[in-house]
Amino acid sequence: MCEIGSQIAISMKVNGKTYEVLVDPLSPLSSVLRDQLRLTGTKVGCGKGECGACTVIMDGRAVNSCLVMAGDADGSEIVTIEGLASSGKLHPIQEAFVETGALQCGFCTPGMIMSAKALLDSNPSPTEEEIRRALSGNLCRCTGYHKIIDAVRIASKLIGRNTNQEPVLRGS
Amino acid sequence: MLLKTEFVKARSLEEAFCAISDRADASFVAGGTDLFVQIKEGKRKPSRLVSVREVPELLGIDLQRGSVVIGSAVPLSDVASSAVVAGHAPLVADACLQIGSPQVRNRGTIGGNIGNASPAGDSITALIASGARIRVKSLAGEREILLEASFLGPGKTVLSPDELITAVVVPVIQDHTRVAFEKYALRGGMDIAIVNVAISLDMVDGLVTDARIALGAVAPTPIRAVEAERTIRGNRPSSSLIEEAARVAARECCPIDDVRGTASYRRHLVYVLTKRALAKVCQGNVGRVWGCAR
Ligand SMILES: Cc1cc2nc3c(=O)[nH]c(=O)nc-3n(C[C@H](O)[C@H](O)[C@H](O)COP(=O)(O)OP(=O)(O)OC[C@H]3O[C@@H](n4cnc5c(N)ncnc54)[C@H](O)[C@@H]3O)c2cc1C
Ligand code: FES
Ligand code: FES
Repeated sequence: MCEIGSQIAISMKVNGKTYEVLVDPLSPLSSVLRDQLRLTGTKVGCGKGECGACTVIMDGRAVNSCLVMAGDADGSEIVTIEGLASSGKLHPIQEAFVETGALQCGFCTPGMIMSAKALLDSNPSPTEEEIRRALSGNLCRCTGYHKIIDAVRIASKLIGRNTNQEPVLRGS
Repeated sequence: MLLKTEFVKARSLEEAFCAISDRADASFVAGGTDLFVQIKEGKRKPSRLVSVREVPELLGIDLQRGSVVIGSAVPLSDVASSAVVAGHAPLVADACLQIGSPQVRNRGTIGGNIGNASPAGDSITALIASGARIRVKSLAGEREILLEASFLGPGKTVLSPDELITAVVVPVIQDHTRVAFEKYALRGGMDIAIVNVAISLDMVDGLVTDARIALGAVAPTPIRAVEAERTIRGNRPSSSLIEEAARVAARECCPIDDVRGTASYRRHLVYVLTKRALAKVCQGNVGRVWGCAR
C-alpha cells in the first residue's frame, strides 16, 4: 500500500479479478465498488450498518461494505452480487429468489442474497431459525420476509441437489 | 470523500505504537463499526486512524493460567463461536452473540466494544459480571486493569489515546458458578440494548456464596448492582429473595430518558430482567446449569 497525497493505492480481488485502485482510505468500500469499479449491484441504504443493503462477502464473511474503510479493504478478497451468476447462469440462490417471488422493489435483494450465500457456504442445510438469524442484519421494506426465508430454504435444497449430482456429472 | 484523515494499517504492535504516537489526535480503529459511523456523522475527526485489526498479537483466543485470554481484535463472531469461550466463559460468548447482526459481528471486535465505552455495550456487562480485566499497552509499558474500573462516562475510559487494549482476560468459570445474560432491545437481531443485565452467582450447597450483577444502559457507565448483590449473597435462593434483589437493583440504578426509552421504563426493565436472570440461574440447585439462552 503506497501513499500518494491523501489517496492511497489498494489492491483487492473482486469476484475473482484483481483490481488496483487509487482510493481515499476513508471512503467506504461500498463507494469504491459502486463509483470506481462500477459494480452497482451492491446497494447503499443507510450507510450505517443498519439495513444490510450493502452486504458483500469479504474474506469469506458477510460484512456491511458501507462500514468497511477502503484502506482496510487492501489485500482483501470480495464477492459481490455480480460475482454469483456464472456463464450466464444464475446462482441457485438467485434462481430461488426469482422462482419464489422473494422480492418486490428489489433494493434489499443483493444484500439478502449475499447474506444467504455466506450462510449456505458455511451451513448448507440451515434450519429456519438459522436462516432468520443469518438475515437479521438485512431489512426489507416490501416483502414481509416470508418469501425470502422460503427462497433461502429452496436454494439450500437446490445447492444440495447440485452437490449430490456433482460426482455423477464428473464421472460422465 | 469524507475528510482528510490519514489511514495506517498496522501489521505489528510496534507499527501501531509508532503510528499512534507521532501524530496528535490519532486514534486506533479495529472493525470501525462504531468509529467509522461516528466519523461519517461528523462526531469525531481523528487526524489519523491506526488500524489494528490485522496485528497478529491481538488475534488469538487462549487459555492461560486459569483465564480465557481473548485478543482485542478478535471479531465478535469469533468470540461467540469459540469453543474455548463457550466452555470457559459462556456468559461472554452469549453476550457477544447478541450484539448487532452477523455483518456487524464479523467486523466489530471485543476490544472495540470496550474502547467505544458505551454504557450499553453488551460484551462489557457480561465481562464485568465475569470479573474480567483488560491488558493495556503503550510505548510507556504495560498494565492490567479491572474492566469495571475502566469507564469514566459515555465514550470515556481511563486509557490515554496512545494506550492499546491488547487482550481481555476472563477468569475461567468455576463448576459452582452459574451465569445468565439478558438483553432487551426493540429489534431483536440488531439493536443497542435498552437495558442489559449479566449475572454470575457462585452457589455452594444451595447457598449463594458470591454474586455479581452487572447492569448496562442504566447509568453513565456500565455498573454493578452492589446492593442487589449484597441482598442475595450468603442466602439461599427463593422466589421472595429473587423478587427482593430485583427490586433493589431497579432502585439502585440511575437511568435517563433517551430515544430508546424513558428512565422509568428502564428501571422497570432492570427489575424484570434481573428477576428473569436470577430465576434462570437459581432453578435446579444441582449440577452445572448455565442460564444462557441458546
Ligand atoms: C448496526 C449496528 C448495530 C450494533 N449493535 C450493537 C449491539 O447490539 N450491542 C453492542 O454492544 N454494540 C453494538 N454496535 C456497536 C459496535 O458494533 C460494537 O461496539 C463493536 O464491538 C465495536 O467494535 P469495532 O472493532 O468495530 O470498534 P471501532 O469502531 O474500531 O472502535 C471503537 C472505539 O474503540 C477504540 N478501540 C478499538 N480497538 C481498540 C483497542 N484494541 N484498544 C483501545 N481502543 C480501541 C477506537 O479507537 C474507538 O474509539 C452496533 C453497531 C452497528 C453499526
Ligand atoms: S447501507 Fe450499509 S448497512 Fe445500510
Ligand atoms: S423488496 Fe423492496 S426492500 Fe425488499
